[in-house]
Amino acid sequence: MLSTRVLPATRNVVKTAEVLRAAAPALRASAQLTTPAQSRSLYTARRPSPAAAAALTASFGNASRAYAADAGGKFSRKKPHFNIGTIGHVDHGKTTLTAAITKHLSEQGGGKFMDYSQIDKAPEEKARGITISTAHVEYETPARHYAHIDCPGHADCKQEEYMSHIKNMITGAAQLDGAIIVVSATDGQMPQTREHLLLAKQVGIKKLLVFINKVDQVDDPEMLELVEMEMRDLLSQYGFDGEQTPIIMGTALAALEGRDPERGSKKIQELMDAADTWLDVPARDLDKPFLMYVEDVFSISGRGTVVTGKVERGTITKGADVEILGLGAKIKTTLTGIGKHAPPHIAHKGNIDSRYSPLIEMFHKELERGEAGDNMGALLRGIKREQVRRGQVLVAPGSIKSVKKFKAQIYVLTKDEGGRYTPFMSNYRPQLFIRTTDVTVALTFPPGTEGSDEKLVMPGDNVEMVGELVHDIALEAGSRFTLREGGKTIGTGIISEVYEK
Amino acid sequence: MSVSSRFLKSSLSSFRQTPLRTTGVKPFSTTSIRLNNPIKVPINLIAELRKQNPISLSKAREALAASNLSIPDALEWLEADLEASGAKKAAKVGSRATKEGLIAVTVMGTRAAMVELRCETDFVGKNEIFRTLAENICSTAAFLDHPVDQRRPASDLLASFPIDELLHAPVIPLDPSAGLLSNSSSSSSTSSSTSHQNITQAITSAITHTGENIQLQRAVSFSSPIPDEANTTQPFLLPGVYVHGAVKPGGNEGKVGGLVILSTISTTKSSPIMERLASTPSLSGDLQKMARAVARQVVGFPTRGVEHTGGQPVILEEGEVSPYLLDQPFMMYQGEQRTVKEVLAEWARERDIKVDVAAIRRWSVGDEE
Repeated sequence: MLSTRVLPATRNVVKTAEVLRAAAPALRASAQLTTPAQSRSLYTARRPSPAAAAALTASFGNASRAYAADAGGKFSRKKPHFNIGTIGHVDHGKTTLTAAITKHLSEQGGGKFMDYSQIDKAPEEKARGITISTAHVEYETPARHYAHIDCPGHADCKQEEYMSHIKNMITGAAQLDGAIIVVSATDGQMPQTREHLLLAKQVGIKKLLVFINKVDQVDDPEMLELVEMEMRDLLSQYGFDGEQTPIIMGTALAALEGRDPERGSKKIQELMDAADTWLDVPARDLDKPFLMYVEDVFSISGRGTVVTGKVERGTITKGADVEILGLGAKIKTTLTGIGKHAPPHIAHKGNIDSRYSPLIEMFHKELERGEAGDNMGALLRGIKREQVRRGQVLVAPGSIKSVKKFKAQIYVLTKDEGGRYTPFMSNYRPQLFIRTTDVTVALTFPPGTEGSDEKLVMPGDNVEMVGELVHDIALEAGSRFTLREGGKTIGTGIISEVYEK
Repeated sequence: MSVSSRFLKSSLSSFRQTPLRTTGVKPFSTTSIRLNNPIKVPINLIAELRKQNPISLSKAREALAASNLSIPDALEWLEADLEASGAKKAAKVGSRATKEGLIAVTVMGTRAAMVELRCETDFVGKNEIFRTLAENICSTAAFLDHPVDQRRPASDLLASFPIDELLHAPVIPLDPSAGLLSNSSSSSSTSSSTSHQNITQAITSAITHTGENIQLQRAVSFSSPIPDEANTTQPFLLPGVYVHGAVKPGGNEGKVGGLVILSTISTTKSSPIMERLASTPSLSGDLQKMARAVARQVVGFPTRGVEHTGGQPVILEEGEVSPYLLDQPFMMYQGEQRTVKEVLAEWARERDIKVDVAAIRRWSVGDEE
């Protein structure tokens, strides 16, 4: 909770993702030492400006992989990184399983063994009354590096902890790429297993693994079949692949205690093999289709129109076809030149000699290729300066749509986080900030919501809402944005669905 | 490994001797589960039983084995078993912290109640079994409140419902046709069994199903006094409720709840409020809507009291709203910018009545009392 409260404020001053990544562990550490009062004053002192809000949105994408940065010191960065979590009932052995995985993999040189008490939260942190978001556990298989999040479910877990978990998912501070559902063979699935699957769905997890634990306590193999059958049914009911999802049966305790390898360590190995093969590593920014957001537009005599901005994802080469999207535009053109461009705060506001023109310098050294993270200038064929505006995007043709209407999961900041003091109702109209643009959006409850005429949204809520923008902008499922009103950030959100006209 | 499953293993593997369902034998004690022949329990029966009563797998098998594979008998067996093994389970988890849960509100005419039911995780807090339990406890509290009550101090119309009393009360569901265990579609056969459960048993049953500690944290209830024909100045008291963050669409169980009492008198001397309500049918509907709006207001804003009475002046940060109801902008009444005090006075004047907010309660899950 604390760490997430401080991070957004800090992000405003941290301009680049690289710095953010490097600073992440330190920030988290300092966040834990800050008292609530201090962090609040830090926030109010640095109420984000509109430009900072754009930077805030932009940094979300990178921040979502912050767990990788934590691991940077100890593990090879060469392996693909994966954020995995365990979800399940408190007595079904999630933490035992987590400990068993670290033990099993540490024996193969894949990380450090962490025992139950280390994972189950350090006592002094509880005593200080500080909520740590989750235990930081990591390990690696020959194929991947994993950061493991033991999801709340513990008896001592605080409400904020759970809330911040959902909140982190929405703001992108801790993205789970996949999860292991742990079920005890003696109990089978429980009524709340439905809610576990709902949470997984809500935070965007597409594939799961199931570990049926404590199988040594059940003597009838048919009972195990029943547990499996019921789990497959339930997975399908909640939109997961019930047929294909790997279900591994074993005993985490045996693996942890180093006995009964057939049902112990071998099953842990099987589980990790399934994780390596069944759970998909999310596409890296570089592998996604090209998208650059437009910060500024210039015309250079003799060359044509140049747009500058930052490449959010993908790569582009000179001569490629691109599309200008958003704010009413949908124009196809060709990128005829790529120039290296300083980020805007250096180019325009830095203490650089006023005679220096970044525009002229830009094309002194032309590039063949631009990629995610680059600040670049793009020379566009046959485009007039008036045709392009800040807030639009340059994309690989057909890779993203520009829409006015969408559905999103929104987290509304509390007043302590710098948000609103008061609730709002349907048809609330804040500004939506994404990349370099802000557009007024009308927020309503999804159609069919019962009692929507008197339903409230209060600070601290996370809520699903439908947004209708006054201008179209390039959006897709997974796009993150912030909501602002009267100069302050009041919420953040992630798009779950876009609606075309 | 749960107590019950240990039970099961020992009882099934070592004591398979005598048939079980002989009358008068307590079916839950370890020594009584003795089967002549080991009964193979078909898994489809276990699955079917679990659809009707979402009990753990091992318990479902134990119940069927003890009931000659008859589902109705097994359901009965589980009912009886709840008394002992349920209590054991409840005792086992009883010390674990409960910080999640729901606030439930109920209003039925001039009766109302609000309860807080706690559990360990938000997952159980959102589950239908837990929600139905909260709903039923709340309707029970509303139903049982006495209109004339000595224990109620005149200064506060809203009395805490003693938890001990409530725990021993029979479950009185708002909708008697809905069974307590109606988690899924196919649970008609268990609904009859809830009719003779008391609140403690209903809670124990939910503990058995979810494996989490569940605690009835607090309860408050209200019932309008019986109109006194002789007393023409007797105010009409009407409750209003609202809950925020309902876990079921349109439901009355959520994260923050509010219960308010409006006290109304007639300003027309010749015609007391009770007469007015009888002669003007729209008035009581209007009052109900206003009570609802005030309850929403109390929930929507962090409201601590009705009115600021003496003491230190309230210092507000820019953009902050007073914690005292009457000073707040009445946003929940058609988006009003004027204060609750002004709007309520004008609204009442238009109807020749005087309306006071006589009492409020605002609870959120996990509040320190």
